[in-house]
Amino acid sequence: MENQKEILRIAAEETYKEEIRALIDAEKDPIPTGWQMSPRSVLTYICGGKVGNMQITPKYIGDKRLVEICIATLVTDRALLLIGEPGTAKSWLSEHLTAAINGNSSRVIQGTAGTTEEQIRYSWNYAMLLAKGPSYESIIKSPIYAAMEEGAIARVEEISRCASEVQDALISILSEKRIAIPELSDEVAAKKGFSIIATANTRDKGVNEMSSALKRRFNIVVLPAPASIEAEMEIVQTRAKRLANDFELRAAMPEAKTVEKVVTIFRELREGKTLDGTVKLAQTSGVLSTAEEISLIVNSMALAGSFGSGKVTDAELASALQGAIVKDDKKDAKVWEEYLENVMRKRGKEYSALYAECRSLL
Amino acid sequence: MTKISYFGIRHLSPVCAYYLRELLRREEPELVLIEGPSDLNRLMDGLVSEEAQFPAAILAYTKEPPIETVLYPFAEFSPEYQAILWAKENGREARFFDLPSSVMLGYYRQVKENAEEESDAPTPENRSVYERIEEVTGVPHDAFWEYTFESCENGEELAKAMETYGASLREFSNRAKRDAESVHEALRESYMRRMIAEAVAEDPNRRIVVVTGAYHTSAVQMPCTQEDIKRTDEVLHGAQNLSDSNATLMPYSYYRLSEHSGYGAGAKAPFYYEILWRCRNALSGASGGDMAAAEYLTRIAAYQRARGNMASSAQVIEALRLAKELAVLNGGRVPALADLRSAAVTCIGEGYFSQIATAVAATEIGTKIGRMPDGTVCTSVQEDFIRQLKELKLEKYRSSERTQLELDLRENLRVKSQEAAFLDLNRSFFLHRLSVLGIGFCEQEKRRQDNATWAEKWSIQWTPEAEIRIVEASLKGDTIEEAAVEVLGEYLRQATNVKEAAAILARSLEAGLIVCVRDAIRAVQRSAAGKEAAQDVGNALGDLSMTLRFGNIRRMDLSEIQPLMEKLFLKFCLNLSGECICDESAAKEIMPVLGTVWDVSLIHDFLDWERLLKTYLQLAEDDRANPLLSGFACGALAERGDIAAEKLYALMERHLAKGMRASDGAYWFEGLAGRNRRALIARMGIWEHLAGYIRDLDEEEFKSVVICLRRTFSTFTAEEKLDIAENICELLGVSQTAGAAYVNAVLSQEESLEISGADNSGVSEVDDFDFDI
Repeated sequence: MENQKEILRIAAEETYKEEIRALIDAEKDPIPTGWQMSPRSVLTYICGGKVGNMQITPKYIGDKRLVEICIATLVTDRALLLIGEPGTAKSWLSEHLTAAINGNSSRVIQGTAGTTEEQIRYSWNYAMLLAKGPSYESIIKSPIYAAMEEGAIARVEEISRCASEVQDALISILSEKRIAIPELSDEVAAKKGFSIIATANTRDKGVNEMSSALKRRFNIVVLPAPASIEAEMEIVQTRAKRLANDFELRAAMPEAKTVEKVVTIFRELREGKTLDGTVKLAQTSGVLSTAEEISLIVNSMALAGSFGSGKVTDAELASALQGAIVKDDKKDAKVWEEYLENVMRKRGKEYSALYAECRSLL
Repeated sequence: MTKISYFGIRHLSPVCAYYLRELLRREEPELVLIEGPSDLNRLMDGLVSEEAQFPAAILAYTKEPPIETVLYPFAEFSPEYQAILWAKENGREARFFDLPSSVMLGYYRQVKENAEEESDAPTPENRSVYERIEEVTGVPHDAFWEYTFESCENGEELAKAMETYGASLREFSNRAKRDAESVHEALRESYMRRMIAEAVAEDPNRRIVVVTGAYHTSAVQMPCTQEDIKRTDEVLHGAQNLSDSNATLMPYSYYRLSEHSGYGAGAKAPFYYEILWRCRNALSGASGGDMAAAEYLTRIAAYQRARGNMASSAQVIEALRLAKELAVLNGGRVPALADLRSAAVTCIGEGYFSQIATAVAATEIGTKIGRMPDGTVCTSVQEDFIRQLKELKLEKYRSSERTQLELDLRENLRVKSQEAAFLDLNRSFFLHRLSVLGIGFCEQEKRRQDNATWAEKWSIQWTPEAEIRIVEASLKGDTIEEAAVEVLGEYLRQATNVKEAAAILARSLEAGLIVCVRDAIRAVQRSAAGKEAAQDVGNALGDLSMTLRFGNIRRMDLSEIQPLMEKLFLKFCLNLSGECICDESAAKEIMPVLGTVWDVSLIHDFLDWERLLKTYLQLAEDDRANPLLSGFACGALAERGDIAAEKLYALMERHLAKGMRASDGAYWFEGLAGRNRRALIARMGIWEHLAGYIRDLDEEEFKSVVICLRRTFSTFTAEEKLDIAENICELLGVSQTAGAAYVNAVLSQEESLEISGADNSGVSEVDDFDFDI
């Protein structure tokens, strides 16, 4: 960690080291076994607040109640499943929860179509296995195995991308709280404090259905898209700015007005009605997530920086919008045209240039 | 010396009800004073009678329009009700001692008038007070109430806590209060002080318990001053006292009690509160919170199971654990309703509230409806009904004999007053409202000439059932109009597609309910967004057009319909081409809609005619579309010459070409002829092509085509057939009269025999059949 400047992304517990320290120092409430701070402090860490003189930055912008449910779930030693569309801060929340509770967010399994059951339980160091036979030294522990031994929380990202049989390997772990090792006629039992936070994406394409047997073993929290347009704009602007810095884009951040237009269009199409609630709209087949908004803004900045004037114009925005909203489906084009005609055309001067650009692309 | 105990309550709170009873048992007062309308003590007996089932309400209302109402709802767990009940059980006296209902009515009328003048909607004061409490405690007010008060296990503790609560309510609301309201509150308190002083004067030696909302407790304890007496006297003899009013007990429902209907005193979850009340009594005073929590979650699970969803006991147990942790996290001992709901969503609803929404509604609000003893109910709706009968000169129809009534909705120009000129229109509104409510007093009869929107025919008959239904309607609103608005609102919420919403729009229009018309327009708009079938959209367009055209006979402002029609019209145009690729049966349903939309667009010039032309042209040229529909589009376009003749003939040739299926060609022609036949008959070219087409068919093809063609031409009138015959004669070079006679001649017996050929044997078999079985 000595040359942190070159690391693309630093773990949560490192970034917010001081806040965690301050919370632990100021702790007054009882601390559950295996945790490093009380549930209430975890809540303060995630939702922001004040500890002594230190201002804790809010990590999750949204409904506090959902965070409370997450924390209360982990106190009851139940596993937690976070469900939501892309860009609703599932992974972000799970990372910060483990950072606050254990001070370690690195026990993570990335779910992919290629994830195997061994990666969930344990696998073997084959050189050692051949040399010494089955022994404790030749076992490669999975993050879940390690978490059970330490009484800590492990994370499973994108659980619905794993094949069903791999998902089901979790069932016995969650109900028995132990992993059998038949090769050594032994088993490892979880210490108090062990739990799992899984994240899943339901509306994406190319995911596997989760069995209800597995779902039953989780407390499920559905993370919604940002509740207010202000919150969403804040998220989009800060994240887009950070990405643009990371990629060293040579374009200026678009004006707040431009971001507002994008967020407004996305929100209206996502929710199927205009912001004032008077006109109902058809919805697109795509998800139109906050994550897509961010990448839309960053992409149009990259376009403007590399090929344009360095300033995001309506033309760039229009083609980016068209690309984001009209996916491969013909129906999307109809929805988009209906939106343009029924909503955007009537929005007045501010939108007229964008409307004309969008219209010309149809 | 009089001993007075004061007990501050929150309305509809089980914990207050329980400890109020305990206090009464301990103090054994001779008199209980209860916050409630002091002129309606006579209604107490009905309230505590054995036949009464809760929830119930006292309703006071003015007899003359505009009708003003004031409502005092009670549930079994209302502290006020428990106090009255205790008094009755122990033979003590109970009295209401708040301002008389007649004065309250006057106050609400003033508020309404002021609101109209200022035009800004008055914000409910309670809200800002509760928001301030939320700021201080950091917990939503309802949860705060449940954590702090509802889980209390000691009467004295509660009394102290209520004192503090009342004091902070006063403190917060003093800062936020609007003037008119604070004057009113002060007046109520003056009156209550005066009533206490009078009660003491009557008999200085008795013990009294005074029950008021916590907010008022500190104020009513102060001594009654001359100022109090002067001010209350002024009001009692002033204009605010609407003494021409009436009051009744009425059955109430938990649904109306819950905040959905806007009663702000905190009965968001009446059924859950009833559970709390039951549990606390079962545990004789210990907080029933844990027991109620278990019951709440079990009921949700049971509800889910009863409807075929999975909900195991294990899930209930997990939910209960989660709810308790949530309560601890927020500083409560026992889960509050909000915790229970979150836990149920997480553990039983798989994270989605929508999955358990109906279960939650059933468990929190419930469907309970009260009942009142016979003869005690005289609702404002009943009086409204009788008053309107009189006003509309319909009294003579209130007989058990069925009578007919014909209405002409147009303005009667021969009478002087405005009222008389629109008498029939107002009658129609009234009768339509009654049918919306399902009163069963009147029934509209279908007229033969259903396009005459200004005429209606009703048959009217009075039955005892109608009387009962009118009383039931009082659950929906305080006047016929209000109740009808509520009912149509319910229908609207249930309406799932454009068709239903448009139908409700029509009903609202008939019943003259402007509010509903607006809501319905909005509902049409909402439901128009989904993946609606083009034919539904088209039908709705037709309905809306009718509404717009004939709305002015009912004197309504319909400016909102126009943008809605534009929107639907666009939707129709965008989605039409896709839906026209369909089979024959679907095409038959769509065809009339194509005609409707065409007509509608011709009538209203705000609709984008060019776009429609483009859409129909596209449809006419689309080879994948059902031939019936593309033919119809051609016919429509040809009607006013919106399609060039060469183009029309080219399309005709294409559809009637050798390569196409012969029946498709005939269908296409059926579509073409489906609209304006005159326009077709006048075009010689069409007949030339048709003649050419038929000439080129071989025997087999002709047989399949002739069925369709015959069907097409069977709908033509004799006169039209004559004209066609003329055309054909001209083409074939035959004399016109001979041709015409041939076409219109009746088939000779040999010919019909030949045609029915094979069927004949079938017919003779049927002849032998014995039909008398």
